[in-house]
Amino acid sequence: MSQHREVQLLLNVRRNERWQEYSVSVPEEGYLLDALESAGRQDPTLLFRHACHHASCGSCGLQVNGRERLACITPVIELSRSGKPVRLEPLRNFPLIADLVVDLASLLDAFERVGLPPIRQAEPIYTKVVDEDDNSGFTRFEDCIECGLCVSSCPIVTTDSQYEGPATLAAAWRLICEPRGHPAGIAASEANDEQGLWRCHSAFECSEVCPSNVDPAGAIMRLRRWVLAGMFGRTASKKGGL
Amino acid sequence: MIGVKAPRVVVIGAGSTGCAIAHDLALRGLYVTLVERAGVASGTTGHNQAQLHSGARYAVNDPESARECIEENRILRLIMPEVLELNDGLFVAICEEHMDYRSHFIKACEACGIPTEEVPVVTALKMEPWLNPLTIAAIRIPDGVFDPYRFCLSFLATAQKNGAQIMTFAEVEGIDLNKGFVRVRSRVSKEIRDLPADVVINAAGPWAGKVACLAGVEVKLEASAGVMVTIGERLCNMVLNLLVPPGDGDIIVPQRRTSILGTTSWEVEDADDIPIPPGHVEEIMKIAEQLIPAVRKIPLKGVMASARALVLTDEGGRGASRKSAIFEHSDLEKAGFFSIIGGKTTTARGMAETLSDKVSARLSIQANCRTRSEKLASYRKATLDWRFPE
Repeated sequence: MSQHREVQLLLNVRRNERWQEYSVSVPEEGYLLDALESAGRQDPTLLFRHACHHASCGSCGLQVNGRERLACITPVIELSRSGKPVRLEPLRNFPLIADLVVDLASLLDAFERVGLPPIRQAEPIYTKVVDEDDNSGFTRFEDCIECGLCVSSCPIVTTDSQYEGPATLAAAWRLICEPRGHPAGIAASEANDEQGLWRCHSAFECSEVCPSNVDPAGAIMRLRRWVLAGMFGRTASKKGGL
Repeated sequence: MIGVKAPRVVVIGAGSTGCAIAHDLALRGLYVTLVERAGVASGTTGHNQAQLHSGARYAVNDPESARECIEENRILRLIMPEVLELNDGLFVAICEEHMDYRSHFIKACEACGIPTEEVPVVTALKMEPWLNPLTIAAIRIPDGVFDPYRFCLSFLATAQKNGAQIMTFAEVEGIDLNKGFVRVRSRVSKEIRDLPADVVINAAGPWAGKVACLAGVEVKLEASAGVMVTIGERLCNMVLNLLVPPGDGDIIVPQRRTSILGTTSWEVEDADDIPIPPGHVEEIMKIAEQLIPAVRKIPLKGVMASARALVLTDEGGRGASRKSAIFEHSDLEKAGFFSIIGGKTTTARGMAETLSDKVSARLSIQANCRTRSEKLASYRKATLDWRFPE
């Protein structure tokens, strides 16, 4: 049996207009969400959202030392290394409800508008690909867990909330790659309008923070190529987006 | 639309059970308010292994639960396809000992109405390239995978469409059955209000004992925790089960690009504080390795534990049935009070139907359950408000 070791963490949590410090002790193999839950037991007024504890529900997004993360998969050992207090703030670019809880409704509305079905065709799961058709019968959830980390990290959304933002544009690209009976035209025109893909300044923050392999920045770049190719009457490859 | 005179029901808890109940009762035309102390699915439902049961796992030891699972499994496929990965499951034999269980297992599934299909090993290994090459038998059954959070949101979105009010971050402070109200404090605005109720439903999972206490009644349950390990790669298309009687750690559930391995089972005192016991992760890895030897090569993504609420029987742990139980606590008081505990996410809709029938009887209203065929609204349409209903 392995030795059970705890790490001490100082959480500095932004609570609306003020900051509050919590001192917690968590098993060294634990995650930031365990630390937050421990703080929540000390102080039941501390509000944060969580559900699945394995990066599937997308409800525990927050800023950790200024960086967007999911609390449930951020190892505490990584945060304890510096010995400094861990700064926790709610996601940016969404209306604040209280403490670490924001309202993600605008993101979900955008997904509904684009119409990305949550289920996709599964790609072969093994690295030694023999025949891509082998997996044709299987399906799985889209990678995007709709957590909002990419939207929070995007400097363009911060300066202009009218911008479609990385999550929506990545969803549009997925729909163009795999239309599943939906007219890709809606996604394409949504992506190509004046608040769409041309406003991205290639900061690539969205792809940096995505906890679920979506690569929204890559999707935006591919969308641009695809739209341009269409303008010049050429066919662009959708490869790389599938 | 809901009439002004519609009976008022307050449901406590936004796990799978509470959300399914809110949906069922809203569809019957009742005025439903669901209150949840934190976020949706922040308790037992949120961190479960995400397996849509076919019932095969229970067919031998608990045929009643198995039948319930396959029935609900079929219904969920119809009403909430967008929150399910429907790739079936395999029960896999690796050694002769597993083969002894095989015919027993197939017969039991058949008796419960669960379709089975023997898949030739060569085919199984082609479908599941990471499967243990020592596999000697594979039986396909209609298991699936869900997204527990979206599962709850789908019910809530539909309930809201039918007039239900959902209030998150709302702590129940008191329940007065004689006067007929539930005292609720918003954890956001700190405001306290009494919500009038003709019926109060306690769907608080392992916290149901505490909620019942507020109404001055007793609910006995066992909080049984389980550890689950998520690894950062999807190593199978289907849900993989070892062809053995239900035990610890014998399931791998793929979800998106991850695999969830689990689970264990032990009794806990406090469902709010469940440290991962030493050795559990290793135990789970050791058994999962029998199904997919490569699991250890993949980095861990997360480790979680949650408590299931089990109905107390003489036996404990896995010996106890995973069936649900409904208790009606009041008959003379002004407001009715029901507790519902146990069961599985897969059977939440069925549990809600049984409970809602009892609620309808208590309120003497003629309303049939319609949730078997009502397609649910998109989970994205759920509005997660923290404000008091108007």
